[in-house]
Amino acid sequence: MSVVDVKSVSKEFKGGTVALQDIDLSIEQGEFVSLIGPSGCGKSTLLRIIGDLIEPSQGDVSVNGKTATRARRDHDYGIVFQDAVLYNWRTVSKNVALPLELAGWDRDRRASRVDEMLDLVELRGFGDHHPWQLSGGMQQRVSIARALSFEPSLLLMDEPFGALDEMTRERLNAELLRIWQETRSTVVFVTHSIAEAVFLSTRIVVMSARPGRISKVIPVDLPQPRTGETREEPRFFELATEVREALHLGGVTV
Amino acid sequence: MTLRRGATNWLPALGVLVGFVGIWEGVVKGAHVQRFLLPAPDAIWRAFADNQASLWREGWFTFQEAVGGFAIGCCVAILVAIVVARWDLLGGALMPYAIAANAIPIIAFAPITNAWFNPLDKTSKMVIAGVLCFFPVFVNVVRGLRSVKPQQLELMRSYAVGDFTVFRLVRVPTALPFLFTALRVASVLAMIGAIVG
Repeated sequence: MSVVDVKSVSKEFKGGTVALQDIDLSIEQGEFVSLIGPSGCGKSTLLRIIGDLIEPSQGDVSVNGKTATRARRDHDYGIVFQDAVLYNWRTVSKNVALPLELAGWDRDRRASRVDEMLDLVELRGFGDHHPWQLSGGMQQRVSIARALSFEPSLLLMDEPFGALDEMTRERLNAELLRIWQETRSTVVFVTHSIAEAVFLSTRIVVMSARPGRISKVIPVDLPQPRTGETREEPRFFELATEVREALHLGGVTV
Repeated sequence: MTLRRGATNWLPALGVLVGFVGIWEGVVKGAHVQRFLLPAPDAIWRAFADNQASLWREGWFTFQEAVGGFAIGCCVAILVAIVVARWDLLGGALMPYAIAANAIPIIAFAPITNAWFNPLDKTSKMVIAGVLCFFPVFVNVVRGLRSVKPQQLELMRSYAVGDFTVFRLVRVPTALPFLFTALRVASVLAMIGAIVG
């Protein structure tokens, strides 16, 4: 059974903008799927439809075999945005614990899970800090810890590293891969960085704009675990070129 | 360390006060300015000392009016703001009138409240102070409750929590800085309302 099943989904916004047209996409357990495309291709819209944050105009979405709404209510996915969306008046620990608090976990269970999560994102010792005391990269790690705290089977990420500098981004890419392997979750990852998509994904979905469509699906056969050296392999460049060409066919000139 | 920094902070201001009062005294005495045009600081001080008892009594009375009006105005404003921020349609219907009502000068308003309530009683001044406080608090709290970032709401939606939780966890904390700014403005308006009213 696939984790995410998108069947002939279209989305038309008020005013007639067609954000998505006839999207079919099936994502299996344990996959790391990147959605890449020019701005306006509807990749973030597709992510939000999977998360039941927006409703599709047509078509069906199922997550873990349930409707998207049911899956959202069951806390089947965690979400990370480009902005970390942390609460400045809460400490790092309390930010990570927020979804657990809302789900009614008791204090001890929350505390031990928060510790595990801070270890996972390598922020041990920062629990009592406030978000504004952390760098952008660290804030985004807190946000990832929060999304994974209740062990959702699916992780939705909307350009999570888009606002970070290149070096921080590469470091967090490597960490995300490690976290993905440790937690064995399924990831849907929106990005507009070709290198990021190739490095992280097991499959890249290339989209084109106006209307938003899937123009090509590229499986990434780079071996795991991937390291900094992976970025220097010839196969990495071949795949990056393939993605770039697919983006061009989608009507973009870079 | 902190003490010394405190002293350097207020010393310049004290210097300005002393210098200003000194020049004022000097000009009035030196140029023989008539008393009804500009009394000298020492004359003002003497008048204050002579009438001390009644000034304190009346001042306390006005202060109570201002505080009462402030409390009433702010509470009503916060409650209305919560309702208006929650239901857009209501906000659309009420906002233009709230803005228009704010343009009415207190002078036009005072006789009405004096007629409604006993003009020698505190209530009429409290109502005026309250009306003055209402507007800035109302407008700011509505803006604060609505200034929540869309992603924060999306995050809450992903947790599938109810409206009240979103209100408590996201909207109220976001609105607090707006509220405090408004309360500062309102505290001044309450005094003006109580004095003019």
